Amino acid sequence: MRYLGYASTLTLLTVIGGVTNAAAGEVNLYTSNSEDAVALVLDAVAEQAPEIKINVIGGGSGSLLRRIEAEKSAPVADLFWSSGFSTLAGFSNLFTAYHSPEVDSLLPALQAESAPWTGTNTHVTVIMVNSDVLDGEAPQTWEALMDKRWAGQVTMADPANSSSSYAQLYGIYQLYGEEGVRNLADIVELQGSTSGVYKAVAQGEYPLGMTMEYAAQRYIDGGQDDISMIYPTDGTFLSPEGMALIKNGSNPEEAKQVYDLLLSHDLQKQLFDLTFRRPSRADLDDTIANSGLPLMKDINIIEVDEAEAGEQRDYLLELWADARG
Amino acid sequence: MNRFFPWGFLSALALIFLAIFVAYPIFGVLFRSFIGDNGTFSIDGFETFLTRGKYLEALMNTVILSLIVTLTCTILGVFLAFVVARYDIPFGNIVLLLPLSVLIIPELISAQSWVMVFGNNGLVTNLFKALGLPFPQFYGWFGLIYVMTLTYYVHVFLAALAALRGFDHSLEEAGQSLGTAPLTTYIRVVFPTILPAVLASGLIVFTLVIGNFAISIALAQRVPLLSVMTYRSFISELGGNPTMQSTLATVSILLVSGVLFLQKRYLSKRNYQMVAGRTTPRIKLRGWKAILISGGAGLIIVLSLMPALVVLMGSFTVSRGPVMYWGQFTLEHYMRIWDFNLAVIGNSLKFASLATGLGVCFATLVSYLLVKKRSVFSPVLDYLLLLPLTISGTVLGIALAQSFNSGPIVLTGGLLMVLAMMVRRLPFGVRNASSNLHNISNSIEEASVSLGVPPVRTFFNVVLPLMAPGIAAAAILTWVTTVAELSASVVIYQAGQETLPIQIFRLISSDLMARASAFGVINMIIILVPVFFGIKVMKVRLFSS
Amino acid sequence: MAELILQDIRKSYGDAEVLKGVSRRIADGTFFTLLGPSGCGKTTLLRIIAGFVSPTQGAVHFNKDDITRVSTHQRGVGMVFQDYALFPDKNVFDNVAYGLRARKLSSKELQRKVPEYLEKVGLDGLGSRLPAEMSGGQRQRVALARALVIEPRVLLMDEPLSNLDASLRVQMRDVIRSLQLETRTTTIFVTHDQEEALAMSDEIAVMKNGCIDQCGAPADVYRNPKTAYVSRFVGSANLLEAEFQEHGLDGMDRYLVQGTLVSGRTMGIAENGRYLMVARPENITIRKKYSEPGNGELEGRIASLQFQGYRTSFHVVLNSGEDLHVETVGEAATSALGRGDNVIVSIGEKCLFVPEASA
Repeated sequence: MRYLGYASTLTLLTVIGGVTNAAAGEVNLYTSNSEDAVALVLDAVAEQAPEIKINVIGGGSGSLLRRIEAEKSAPVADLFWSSGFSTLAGFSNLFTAYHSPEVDSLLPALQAESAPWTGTNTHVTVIMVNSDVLDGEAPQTWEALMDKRWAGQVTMADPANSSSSYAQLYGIYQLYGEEGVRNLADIVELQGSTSGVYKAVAQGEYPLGMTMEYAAQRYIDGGQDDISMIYPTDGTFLSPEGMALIKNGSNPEEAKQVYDLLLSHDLQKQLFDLTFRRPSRADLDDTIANSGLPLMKDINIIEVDEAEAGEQRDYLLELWADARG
Repeated sequence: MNRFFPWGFLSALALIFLAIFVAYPIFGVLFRSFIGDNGTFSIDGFETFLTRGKYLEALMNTVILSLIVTLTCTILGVFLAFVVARYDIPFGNIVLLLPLSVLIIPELISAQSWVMVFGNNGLVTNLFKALGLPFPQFYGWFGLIYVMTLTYYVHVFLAALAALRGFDHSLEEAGQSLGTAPLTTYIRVVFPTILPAVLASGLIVFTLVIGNFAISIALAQRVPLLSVMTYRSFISELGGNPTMQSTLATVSILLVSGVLFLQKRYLSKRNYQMVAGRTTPRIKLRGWKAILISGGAGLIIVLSLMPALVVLMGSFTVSRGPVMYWGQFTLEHYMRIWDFNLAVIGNSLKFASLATGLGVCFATLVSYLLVKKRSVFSPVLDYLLLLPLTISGTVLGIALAQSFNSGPIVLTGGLLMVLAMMVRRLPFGVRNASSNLHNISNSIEEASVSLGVPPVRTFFNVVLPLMAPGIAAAAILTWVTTVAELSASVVIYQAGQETLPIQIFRLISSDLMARASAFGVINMIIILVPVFFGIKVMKVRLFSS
Repeated sequence: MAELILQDIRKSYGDAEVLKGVSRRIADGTFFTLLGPSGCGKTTLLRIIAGFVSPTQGAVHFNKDDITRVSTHQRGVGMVFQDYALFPDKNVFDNVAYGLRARKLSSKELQRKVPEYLEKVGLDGLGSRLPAEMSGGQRQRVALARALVIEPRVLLMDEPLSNLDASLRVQMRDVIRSLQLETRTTTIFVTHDQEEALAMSDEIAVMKNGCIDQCGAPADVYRNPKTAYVSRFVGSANLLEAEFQEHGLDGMDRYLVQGTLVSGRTMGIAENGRYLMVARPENITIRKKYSEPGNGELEGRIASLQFQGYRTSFHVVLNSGEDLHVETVGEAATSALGRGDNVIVSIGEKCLFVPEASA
């Protein structure tokens, strides 16, 4: 009698945790974006492609990608949205390339023609400032930031843990070489996670933080007056993010429709208004201007070779560790 | 007469279960910390640990934090116990709520609520700002010590209170007749005898701080801590470093085991048994002393219960992105949950129910086997049951993930999460379930068997009904801890399996406090309902052990 | 109803031999008592009959069935425990009905049999009470009803009266014995209390160190103890060293005890020639010393005495230094005796002689 109980429980258990493959007309969307962002997508799909039903699996991009990898012999996901290009590179064997008609409307840096993904948005690295705890004038360039007077007052995420932070480090390395890396290492204090940086600055623990534009904008738009951001005039870096079609997914056609939708004008506009992440489309300047953020052309962007960045990773991280002592 | 079936067989089964899901993962971690990057034996991990400054710093901070928090908890807990045991204070009954509050308010929510009060966007902080006054930085040591103390002091409080209440008043009177004033007597005679109980609970607090995840990760921004470092080494976006994970986990295990060993060695011997006697009658306080002491006790009680209120308020507070507008109210956050996140609630209920159901069944069976049907397997079972006590949730999560993500047995996230929740709670579940067993004499079972009912049916007919109160307590306590479980599940979960605590954790990481609060309130309700039901309706006594 | 046969029952725990070969045939309907001090193996033997313990060697039969390997719940025994072992969460009716329910009796039959047995034990009408609401004596009666209602082949009782206070104990002896006679159930009764054993049993087995020293009807065991141990365990006995002198013509033998000749029966041959005289306190007379002691008489002083109403108990210290316990009934002869008096004690022919080694 008891054994029956055990057996049935065991069966029950094997049923948990499994999401089944999407039926026809459904798309399994693995996404790291917030629910309200996803809600916008769902609304758009309901309006423009009502025959498609989207099943949303949310999570951190790292854990989602690992899950896709674990499922690769019998893929469950149809579409993944989104993660940084350099992270996607590490999982590229899981994706299948798709040239969406919308690609031509995208910013060149975000088109990723030769890769099996497409850019959906990009982050801009900024210096987030909390004027409440800032002593003196905020630095306007990276060089000024790396001055000894800011030692202990600047925070950034640990590049070994965070891809966006690694991109920042690589950018500094490109601009100022090994010496730049060492100077940075001398003044900065690390956070364990990406989110830790903007939280720390917002909470007034640090007056300065190296983070992404959208993160700082959340506070500014939210009404926290002591927060502002600086686009370093000696050049700043983009951190492009993208989505990818999963190889051997069950519903590629429907997934492609959603893919196109995520690159469409209206949806990207709505997403930008909500999340402040710069869209990959090139035709949304008005929207951006309305939000108070500078247009892309008005920011000094330093081009970064993603592949190079990837290749140099081990070397650079060791240099960094050495500089940190 | 088969001497092996059924009890010997069941003992063996239980043993195998524990060996696979407790011993194998834990020893796996210990083992893997000695395997280097290239798969061969190496002590690189430990070498890195000892030479790279940040690891030693984390270890040092962890130990220091544990010592400080243990000290503050002891002071607070003993003070409050003293006041409650000795004086008749106005809200003495609310004191009974305290252990409950710790149960019902998960650590994460507690940390979260204090951030909402004292953090940079916090209620009190803004108040101070409006008045032009500075407020100290909450994150880091201040916040850690403050919140951990308020969370853990209840352990010391309960232990001290039980010891004080069990103290035979005649001893005090003997002391007084020998010439010392009442208060001095109390301090000189009573306190030394409650010391073992207080020290024992202090050690528990010490190990809890070492393994603490939720509060640490919420508040320890600048302060490297072992538990957070262990977590990050596993989780990091670009794939973890398996050796360092295992090394850090091993250090954590060694630290806690060391403390537990000390406790067993030096403290269990010193438990003073009070021969049953009269309890000290309580004194009514007058005048300024009354106000001071009642005020102090009252303050502690209020502070313990406050997180629930703060989170409740926060959940209804307007927020734009991460910025909270205290004083303006909205239902938006709850509507959102209704629209988007019912699956999260479903996940929590699903996993917690399974873990509780399985855990309680297993605990009931094992406690029966260990108390009533001892066999050659029993000593090993005893030992295996102790193992989950030596590890923090994070380490257990890592151990399970490492052991079962690949290799001979592969288990998926959901099943693994249920297992993790179950295993963590097992030692306590067994203790709860067996609390009544010692009072059930063997002759009752023998009577049933002699009357013609076979042994297994005897267990169900006769023993189980009598174990019911202990089992109910085990069920409620297991439910409460599994619904609030974070540190193991956050390491194991797969996308789509977020529970309430995981969701709250992610929202706190994104600094979306109001939304996190709404989830927090729901989490507390899910915990509260069975507890309330159990205590009021079923009259379960949760803290008899 | 069954005849119980024990065949060479042995039980060892590791090196310790608790039962050293017990064999006995107990007729159907007998009230058979296992009497002995703690550690003698009586409880172990009972539990072997019950089936809770397996013998290391030997067999147990109920009638023709060898039940040595049969599980307890299939043996059809009824058991009454020292701590009553009533199910605390069930009321009296349900407790008594428990075994019947296990035998799948219908509700109607339960309604008939349970009240019947409750009445037999004098608890009629109390079916809805809970054990916690009853006194010790009442609980034991429930336990008895519960064991008997299933009409067991053998009724086993493990010191059932030890937890009751004195007067209740005496009362319950009667209840148990009457019921046993009425139902004619073969009963094995374990006790360390020889009064109980003497009062209730058809047969008593006096046990020591895992063996049955002597087995027989109460009167027999009392009057004809084969060993010094039995003589002291069943009833009290004064033991004095005795030297064999000669066989008497009338079946009585003569011994030299402390310089005086005493006659009595010999129980068994002493291989080393050393004997003990067993004299029961009530078989010794005591009087003030007016003259020198004669045959069968010893001299001493009263060290203390206890007046108990209908009898008086004397502690006499003989001139040789040995102690003697004397009991007299009635007042007349001894009312004049007081502490410190010199007295003559007279050992009558009711004494026995047992081999010394048997002590």
